[in-house]
Amino acid sequence: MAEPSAAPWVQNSTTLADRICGLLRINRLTLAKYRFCYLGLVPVFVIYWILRLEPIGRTFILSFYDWHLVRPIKPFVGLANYQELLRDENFLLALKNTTLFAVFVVGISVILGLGLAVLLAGQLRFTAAYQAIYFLPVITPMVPMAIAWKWIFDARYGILNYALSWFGVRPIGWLTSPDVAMWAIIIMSVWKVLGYNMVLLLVGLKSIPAVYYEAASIDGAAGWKMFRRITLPLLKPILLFVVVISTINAYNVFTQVYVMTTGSQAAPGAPLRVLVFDIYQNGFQFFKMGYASAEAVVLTLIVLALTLIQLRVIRMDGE
Amino acid sequence: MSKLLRSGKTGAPGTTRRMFLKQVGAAGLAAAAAPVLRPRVSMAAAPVTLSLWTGYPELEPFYKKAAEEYAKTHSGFKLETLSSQLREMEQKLTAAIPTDTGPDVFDIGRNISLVFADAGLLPPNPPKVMSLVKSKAYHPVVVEYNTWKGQVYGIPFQEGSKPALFYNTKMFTEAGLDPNKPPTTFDELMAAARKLAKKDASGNLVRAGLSLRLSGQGSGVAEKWWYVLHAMGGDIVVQTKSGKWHNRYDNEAGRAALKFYTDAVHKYQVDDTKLQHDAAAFASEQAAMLMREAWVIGELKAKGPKVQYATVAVPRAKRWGGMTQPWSLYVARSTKYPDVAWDFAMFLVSPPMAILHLQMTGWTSMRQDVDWTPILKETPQFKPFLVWDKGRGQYTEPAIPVFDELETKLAERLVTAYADKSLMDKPDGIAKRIKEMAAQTDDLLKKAGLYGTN
Repeated sequence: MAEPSAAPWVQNSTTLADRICGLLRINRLTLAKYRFCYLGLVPVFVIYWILRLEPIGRTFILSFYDWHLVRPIKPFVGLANYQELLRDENFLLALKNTTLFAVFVVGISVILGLGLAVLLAGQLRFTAAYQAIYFLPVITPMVPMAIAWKWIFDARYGILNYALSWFGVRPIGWLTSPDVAMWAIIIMSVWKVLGYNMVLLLVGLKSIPAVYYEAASIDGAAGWKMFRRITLPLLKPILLFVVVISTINAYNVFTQVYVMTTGSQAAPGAPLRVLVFDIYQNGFQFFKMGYASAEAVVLTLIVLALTLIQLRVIRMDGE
Repeated sequence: MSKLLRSGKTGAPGTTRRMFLKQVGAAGLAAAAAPVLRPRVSMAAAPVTLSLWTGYPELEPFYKKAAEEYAKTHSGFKLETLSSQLREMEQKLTAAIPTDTGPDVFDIGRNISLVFADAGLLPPNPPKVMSLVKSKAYHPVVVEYNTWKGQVYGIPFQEGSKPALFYNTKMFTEAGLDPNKPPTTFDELMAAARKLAKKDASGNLVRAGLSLRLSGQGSGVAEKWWYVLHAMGGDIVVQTKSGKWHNRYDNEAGRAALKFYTDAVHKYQVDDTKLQHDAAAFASEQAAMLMREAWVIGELKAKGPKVQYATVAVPRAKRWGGMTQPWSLYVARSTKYPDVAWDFAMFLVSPPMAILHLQMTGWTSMRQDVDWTPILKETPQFKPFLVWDKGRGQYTEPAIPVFDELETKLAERLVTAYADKSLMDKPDGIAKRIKEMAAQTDDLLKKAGLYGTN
């Protein structure tokens, strides 16, 4: 009696698997592991595609159209939206304001965060309690916090002006005065991100082996010199991460600006016009989705460029 | 079948062809006569559930109460409501209406409905509704407001922006002013505001003589400025004979309106950005006068019941008028029950419902054929909102889709100008600011293809 031959599809499958194994120079067990891993990743990738990659791609495409949210006709306009951006006073103002905001929020929150991390990395009592206190604003939702800060900044009833009045300072219109409104938002935003930066930098500080400090102290180094020569260079990867993440977040500032400019007792719009607010207004208030998409693409490119520059500068410095 | 009929039998045992034809004929006659013979039933006799969306959460109880009243004569009628803050509702509708996934009935401002109408997404009013809207129930300005390219859309429902001057009668008396002779011109208004403003020992303003909209962002800032601008003889935009538009405030009226604000804040210091503002300030007696809409009356009942106040029409200068901004009810093209939806929308604006609407929400109806006597007897402060004096005109926003953007961007520049002390007593500086604002307005009109001067 003749041996039953394998079904043709089994033979084909065997051949294909063998071919892939030969191509990748791996055995069948490794191929099975790969297959399992990639199949496991498929649902995550599909979700990521739908929620991230597809909208980003669509935003890029939309930026070349006069794409009004409601009107049925959405003509292709090429680079017209981008050309318009260069002449748009509101966009240029938003770009300037956002950059100013990012520079100060990133600068202050990283320097203060580093200072706090250094303090808490030392032999301080109740370190865990301090960490929790500084980290608390990070986990509190932005909208209620922005409303609470609106009250803190209130010129007449705000606790900040009340505290300043003890030193003879006359009431300041923190939110209503165009000259100081941006500073009010910067103060609130630094308060919000400070704990996050501090925790990351603290982890970085604690991961520096003690042996370097011991060696340095034997060589007679101490204080600022030790910080500059040992702590800072070894903290650079974490510092780079903190600066990059803070910059991206700062360029995406929106919620606190939106909350604090809404209502009759709110901050003026122009001095606080930031890029995401401008995108929101053009997209969801004026329904100019094509134009708003062009702004979003520019914002993405700016953040990408700044991130690459930061990575390059800090790496070059490290080398 | 034909074989059966030919044999004189049908499928049913004992049924002949003659009987079958008789039955079919009887059924046909009965069907044809049904509309005539059936008893008269209300339109919504079959169970009908409508959905209604609103950008004003405070209207929801009124809508529910009105639905209960409507169901009394329309058995089987039910209403499901959805409310959210106005901006969120605008976004919801903007996503839902073009995709036909929205409600049956909705209320919204014209900044949104005009865009829908322009895109052909909104059905114009059917004849029955038109006969109501074009009747004497509504002022012609209101009908014009709801007209786009010759078609009328929606039923004017409530007044969105008609202002009056609220003034604290107790403060008037204390300041030596006669509460029975409120300011009737903008000069008198400023003079009264100066007397009513109060400062503390350090020279800080603690009570605004006149609370103005000085800060924040959004078209509301420009809308309030327009109250003054209109009285001075200007408008934000004006239409030319050829149908094009251009700004109408780069002129003496525009400069006078900005000067009024600059004087109020910096020269006479009758208001200050550091003070509390709006209805809350009037309710807590930190402002002696305020130009605002009728909803403030309801706000005062709840938050400032002890405040002694009266209302009067917004003062005049070269012109006398009041802004009107009808908020309308619309029926979506996707509704399964257009007749019921329109009928219910008409019911919502009927005189008894207009009174209920005002009593429950504080918002005033757009109708001018309602007898408001019982309301005015109870709350005389409603008078300048409900009774229109002879000689007092009405003006409204132009029907151009770009107007919301234009007004929002003007508002931003106005807020910056109000805070600029260097503009005080500087006619050149004021003129320069106005010119810049007007240039932006005209530029936006140009981009929309609407600009023209002839």
